[in-house]
Amino acid sequence: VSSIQQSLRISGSALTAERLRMDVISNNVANSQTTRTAEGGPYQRKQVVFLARDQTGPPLQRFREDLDAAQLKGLAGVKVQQIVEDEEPPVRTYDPSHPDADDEGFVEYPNVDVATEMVDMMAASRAYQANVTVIQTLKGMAQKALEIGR
Amino acid sequence: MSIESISLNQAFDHIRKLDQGVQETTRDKGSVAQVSDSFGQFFGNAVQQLDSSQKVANQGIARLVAGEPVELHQVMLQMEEASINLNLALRVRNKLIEAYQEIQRMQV
Repeated sequence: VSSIQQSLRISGSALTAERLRMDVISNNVANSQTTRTAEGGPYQRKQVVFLARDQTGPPLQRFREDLDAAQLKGLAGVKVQQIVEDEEPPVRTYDPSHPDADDEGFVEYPNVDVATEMVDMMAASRAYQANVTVIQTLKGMAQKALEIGR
Repeated sequence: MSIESISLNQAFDHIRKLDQGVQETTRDKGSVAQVSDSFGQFFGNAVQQLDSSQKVANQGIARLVAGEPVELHQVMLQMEEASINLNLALRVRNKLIEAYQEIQRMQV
């Protein structure tokens, strides 16, 4: 059971990572018109960077001792290593009545393209679904294994 | 889920008592007693693992319902683990009872 637990954890880490990616996308969409930030200037689009976890937990090693240690490396799921800012320049729009307009009447809007964010959102949603399907298949396999004893 | 686990634990207690009875009757034969002792231990550990997975799942649900920042999928995975563990324990119990009844039906 514990090795199934470990398998579930791999997919679970992917679900957590996709949820965080979704949060970042939500934040981008929410701030697509934000002209003020704590650091000054308009909001900058953020992106997640995924990292493959290579540290194997003790349960996996204990229950799969017959496998080579090198084979086990890299079977530990995924995590978000960092959230980086998109270095694209902000979008300058002419709007002299805006309080954040500069001397020439231009306002710097965030470099967020909502259409791009929508595409990212669909990708994150599909990736989440794919990992849920993996979990369901794992569950099905465990149930089939239990049916041996029936 | 918790109700199921309680009744299951009671069933396991019965089996453990049976196991102890077997141990007492076979105490004079050292090796057999040792084997059944380690089986009892193994069984106790298995029940404890089952119980802890149920507790983890229950805690997860409680925290989710209380509005703490818990990932929904993590709770679902914990519940799934608990369910698989419970099913495995049920299968083992069924097999044990089957074997016990088989012996009970034996003509002496």
